[in-house]
This record gives sequence, C-alpha cells and structure tokens, in this order.
Amino acid sequence: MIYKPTFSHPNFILFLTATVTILLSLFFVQRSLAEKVDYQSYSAGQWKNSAQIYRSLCIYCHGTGIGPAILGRHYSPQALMILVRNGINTMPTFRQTEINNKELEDLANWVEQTVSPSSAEDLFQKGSK
Amino acid sequence: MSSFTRREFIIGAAAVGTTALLSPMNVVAKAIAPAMLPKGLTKGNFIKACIAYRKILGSENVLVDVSALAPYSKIMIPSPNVQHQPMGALMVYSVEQIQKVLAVCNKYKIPVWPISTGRNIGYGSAAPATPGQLVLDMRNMNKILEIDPELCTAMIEPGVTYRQLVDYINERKLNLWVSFPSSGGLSGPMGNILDRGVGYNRNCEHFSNFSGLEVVLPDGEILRTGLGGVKDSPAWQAYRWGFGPWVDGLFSQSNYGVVTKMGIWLMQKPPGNQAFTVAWDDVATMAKGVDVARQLRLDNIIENGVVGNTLYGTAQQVHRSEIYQGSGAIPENVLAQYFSDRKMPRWGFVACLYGTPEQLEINSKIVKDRFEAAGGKFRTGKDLEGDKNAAHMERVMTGTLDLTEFGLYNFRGGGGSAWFAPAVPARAADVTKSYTITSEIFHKHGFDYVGGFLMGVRHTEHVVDLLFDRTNPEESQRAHDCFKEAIAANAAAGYGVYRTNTGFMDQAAETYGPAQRAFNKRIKKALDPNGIIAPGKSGIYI
Repeated sequence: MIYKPTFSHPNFILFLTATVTILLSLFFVQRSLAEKVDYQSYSAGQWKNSAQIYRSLCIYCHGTGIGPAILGRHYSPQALMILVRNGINTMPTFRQTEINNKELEDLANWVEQTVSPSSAEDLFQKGSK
Repeated sequence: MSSFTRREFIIGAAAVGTTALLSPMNVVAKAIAPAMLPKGLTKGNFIKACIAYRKILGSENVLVDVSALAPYSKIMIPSPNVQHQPMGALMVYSVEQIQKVLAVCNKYKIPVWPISTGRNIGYGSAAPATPGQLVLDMRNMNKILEIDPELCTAMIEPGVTYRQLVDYINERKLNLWVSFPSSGGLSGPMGNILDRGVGYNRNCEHFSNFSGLEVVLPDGEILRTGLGGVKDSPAWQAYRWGFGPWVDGLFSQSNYGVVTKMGIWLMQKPPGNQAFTVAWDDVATMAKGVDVARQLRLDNIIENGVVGNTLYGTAQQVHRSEIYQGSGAIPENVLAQYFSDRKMPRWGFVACLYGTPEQLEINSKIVKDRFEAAGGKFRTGKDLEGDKNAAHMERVMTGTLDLTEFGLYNFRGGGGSAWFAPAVPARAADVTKSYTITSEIFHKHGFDYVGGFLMGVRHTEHVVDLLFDRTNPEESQRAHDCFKEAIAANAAAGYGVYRTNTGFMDQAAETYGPAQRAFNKRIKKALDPNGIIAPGKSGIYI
C-alpha cells in the first residue's frame, strides 16, 4: 500500500505544527530584542524647549534646595547667561555643546518670565518656551 | 607648585587676555599669549592649524575666544587655573571629524584633551592636566546606538548622559537600571567608566561592567576591541575578552587614543529590593562592620554598599557654621556633642538587597544577624522613614538619579572640592589605618574628614571630599598641601590612589613606581609619537 499523507492525518498535523513552531522560534531567535535606536537628545541644538532643559539640567540643584531657586525670582536673563557659562563657586559651567547660545538665551528668558517656583509644574505641562 | 594668588583664583583664564577672538585669525594671533602655547608650537603654526580645524568643523565649532573657553576652564581642585588653561576647544560631531582633527594635530604637534560630558567634578572637570591643549569636546556625539533588554547591554557614544539613558529606559518601560555615580544627574557613563568611577547598584564597579570599545588611535586608525574585530558580531557587548591580549584597559585613565563608542552593561531590574542601614558609634565597631560587609559580599548576599562617616551625610544637608564657627577642623568633642544631641551614630552603612521576596526575607535576616553580632545597629523598612540619607541612597541604588550629594559643596562654601581616593583592602585593620592617616592629615591642615568607604568585594575605595574655600588663596594653598601629603602618606602605607584629579597626576603616578611610569611612556611613544593625546593624563608623557 502506498502511503499518501493527507492534511487530516494526525502525523502530518503533528509534523506541520512542529515545523511551524520551529520556524517561528527561529524567526524570533533571529529577531532578538536588541534595539537599534540611534537615540539622540539632551545636547546643544536638540532640546525640545526651555522647560526640558530646566528639568534635565537645572532642577537637580535649583529645584531641590542645593542651589537657590531661580524660578519666580525674575533674575536678569543677562546675569543668568553669564552665570551659566562662567559658573560661580559651586555652580558648574555649561558649555556651548550642552546648551547653544540661542537655547541659553531662550532658557534665561523663560526662567525670568516664570511666575513662581510652584508654577513650574504648569510650565512643564505646557512645555512652554 | 607656585604659590596661589587671588588673581589666579578669581580671574583665572582672564589673566591671559580678554580680547574676543572669534575671528579673524589676526585677532587670534594677538590674543594668544606665548605662554599658552605648547612647547615648540609657534603662533603662525597655531593659526594655520586653526584654519585647518575650521575647514573640518566649521568656524563656529572652533573656539579660541577666552570668554567662550570659560566653561572649559572652571575647576574646583586645589591647583592654579593657569596650570589647566586650555588654549581652545574643538566641538566635534563624528568619528570622521576626529580622524581629520588628529591628522592636523600630528602635523603641527598640537595636543588635544578629549572629554565626553566633561563632568569629572572634583577631579578636574573639563580642563586639561597641563596648559596649552585644545579640549576635544565630544558632548555632541551623544547617540544611544543600541539597547538590548535581553542581554542588558547598551552601546553609546561619548556625549550620552546618564539622564538621557535613564529617561530612554524609563520612557520605554524597559526592565533595566543604570549604575551611576553621585554626579549622575549631570555626568555620563563613558567618561566615568574610563576613569574607573564607582556607582551604587549591582553594577557599581563600573570598569567591570562594560564590553567593547571603539577607539580612534593617535594616527587616525580605528580600533574596535574584543569581538568588535569580528565582522557584525552580536557578542561584542556580551563577551568582554575577545581573543588574544585584552587591550581595553590601555584606554582607561590613559592617553593612548580617543574612545568613540562603548558597550555598557546594565542591571536587570530585580523583582524586589530592600534597603537597609547599619549604625556604629565609633571607628572600632565600624571597622568590624567592614569585615562583616566583606564577608557578605564574598558570599554574594550583598552586592553593593557604602560605609560613611556621619558627617558625610550631614554635610549634604547643613551648613558647617551650624556645627562650628571656630577656626581649623571641627574639633572631635564638638562633633561628638552635635551627633549625640541628635541621637545620631558616628558611622553608617547603607546597602540594598535585590531579589525575590523570598530571597529578600532570608538575606535580610542573615545580614541583620551578622551585623548585630558585630555590634552594629540594623534598620530597614519602616525604621528608615524620615532618614534623608537612607532615602537618597535607596534612590540611587534603585535607578533614580539625584544630586543630593552635591549638597556637600554648600557645607563649607567657596567652590573648592577634590576627591581623595586611595584603594584599601576591605579589612578592619586597613580601613582603620587609612582612615587614621587621612583624617589626621586633613585635621592638621584645618579640614574636616568628609568621607567613607565604597565597598568592593575585597577592597574599598576610601573616598574623602576635601572641601575648601577656593576663593581664599591661603586656604587653597593649604588644601593643596593637604592633598599632596595625604597621597604620600597613604602610598607609604601601601594605599595608592585609584584615581586622582588633574593637579596631582604626576605625584600619583610616582607612587606607583618607576617601572610602571617607564612602561606607560614606552606605550605612549609607540602609539602617539607626537604626544598629541592628553599629555599629562595619569602622569603619562612622551
């Protein structure tokens, strides 16, 4: 008798299931979870807005009491720009590769325009410049 | 070292001229003082080199303007600004640009000082070890190139910050934590790992947790270490050693090349974690506790930990004048009274257990029993509520960035900080000896002991922050003398510094003996015959 496999034959179904499983697993093994991301942000020319800069750089000190609060104090933008580039005592300096001159000017104006430290969250929500 | 003057500290870089030098080149010629140039480089050749750099990078990315160089010049260490004044900065965006820049450097014999994020705060920041170098600023090369959540690895460029990496991971809800140092809110992984920095979680020994480098050698050739030599190897970030000699260490704390890519290892977020503290009332019981902590690390029951003098935590939160207004170091009886009044111990240990609830329960019991048997006071869970230092340490041990420890810089004020960091065996007798030597020297020079021991397995990094008023020349000179003596005295006892700031690299290299210095020099001459990469780094010159 010549053996003719059919789709309903249990052995064939088992074979098909095994084959599909192996192929699928091979597919997933080949496609590891490693992600090629090319993710770039957080440096000069890449910041979304001043609020992001404040949250990523300034807040660690100026929002925690380590450095003086700067929001809502209406500091002169010119003075802030000089301080950011030159530092003072403990305050580190920030280079043009971290914040370019235009971003720094925007940040200084944004800080100067903030109403109060407590308004910062609103500004973050709005992501305003 | 020459004596400090107020002018050096306050004016610093401005001493070499305040003329704006953006362009044209004849202005550069007028403003560059001969003293700023490296030996053998003429003004004419420097101008020719600047023209070449501008062609490669664009004029806006070549800084020779003294005012634009201010952010590269600010340092906190007890060393005169003029000894670390760069003569310019080159802002690069790609490996190809670096190769071209190095070709120009070789042609004119101009040294460059590579920085990644430039946040080696308390170790020299972004400024070079010697004057007359161009800072090679790679902050804008800041791509996270790959993340593998299965193998817990990442491939990054030099300018990637810890904040960027942590945000990336959190936004995608990946099951990963990054180990970072106390400066993690501002700094980045590549520079910290290459300088053999230390962090707080399971991967706290940073130089043990990377795999694979891409390096631009001084002649412009690109070297990929380990399995980076095998075309498209998926194991480059998984297996560190490759085949044949393992050369990655040559590019750590050195000046043999410019590292442009690095594979780093991340910690898999555990199912649970439990912070705990141990308190001791004196040095003797603290030292016994170090023996316990070492044994727990050898048993792999704890995987991290910091032994801290209580003043280290307190100094992050109060101003020194709240404790003492007199001259010199805070007297022992004043400290004893201050902490006694507040029912605070004199020494503490903070660590974090990681694992399943079952593991945490059993390991917590083992840890408690062993520390208590050695005279420590164990606390965990609700007992830690309200403890600001414990809360900070728990955050950084569980992947949350903060800069709480920068509060140290307000303790004394004046912007002076230098991390003194000898490597010491994790053994009671040795931590006691290094502590005694160091604290006595600090006190003799009028400075407080603000430090502790970062627990490795068999060693500790004995880390002490020399805090001083950098606006005061006399105090800065004392800080310099103190640091110098502390290096010498610890080395005499066998405790060499594992890392130091740019003002003391020659001295630190001397303590490691002539054979190592000669060997380092031979490698330098072979790889970098023109001495264009970071002369003076770790005391290495051609």
